[in-house]
Amino acid sequence: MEEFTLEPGETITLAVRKHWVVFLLELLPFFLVALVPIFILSFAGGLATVNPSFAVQFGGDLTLGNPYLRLGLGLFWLIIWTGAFNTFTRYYLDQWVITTTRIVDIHQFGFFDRHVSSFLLNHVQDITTDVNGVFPTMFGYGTLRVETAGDASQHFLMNGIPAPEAIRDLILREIAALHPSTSAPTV
Amino acid sequence: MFGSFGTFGITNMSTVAFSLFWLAVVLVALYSAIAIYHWTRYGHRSPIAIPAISVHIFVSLALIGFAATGL
Repeated sequence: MEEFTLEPGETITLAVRKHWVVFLLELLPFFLVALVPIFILSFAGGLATVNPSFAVQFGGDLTLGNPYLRLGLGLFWLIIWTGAFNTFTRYYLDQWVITTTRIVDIHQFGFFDRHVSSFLLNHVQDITTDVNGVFPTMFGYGTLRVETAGDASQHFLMNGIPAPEAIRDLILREIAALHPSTSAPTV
Repeated sequence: MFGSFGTFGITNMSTVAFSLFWLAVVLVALYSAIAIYHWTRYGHRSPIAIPAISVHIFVSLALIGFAATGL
């Protein structure tokens, strides 16, 4: 990990990204938009078959034989592809790392905008999981909310993570291992 | 519309198409360079990094090639 340095004796317990279904749902709009020109051209081609004057109004060729159409489609799909790859990059470079002493949130907001924040496990007071909706329930992903103790109480959200209950239990085990004589935080 | 932009007042359609094409290519090249920088900077230890960059470059070049057939 380049973003943070492990302390002596600290080890990484788990590194987790958003669930792959969340990624696919983020990718879906790009896929649908990429299909739009195909539907439009099919529709226009059908109209041109019925009414040849329609095609004449649009240059006479609504097929890929038209060079300007190929150019437009190529550039359009290039933009869509770039957007989709950007979504994948952000999905992959976002990460939560749970170590034996802390939780590290690595978030890529955009290019040249990367945030890395840490929460010490011994400051954790409350952990809440939330699996809400059809897809989250079917595929087993959800939100994990960690709140820290103290006057400046802060919370920490892990959205769209797989098996949030298992990760909550893992964090609780790590906290218990840090403080074997005290009780674990509330769930 | 396609192939008959002259009717809309654009007299030299091929010049416009050529300019748009190269503008898009330059922007995508710039984006790719920045994306590759981030992948190599933050995801270089991942087995996904090199395949992801390769696929991005391959698909981008394929689409640029497809668009270039319209010039």
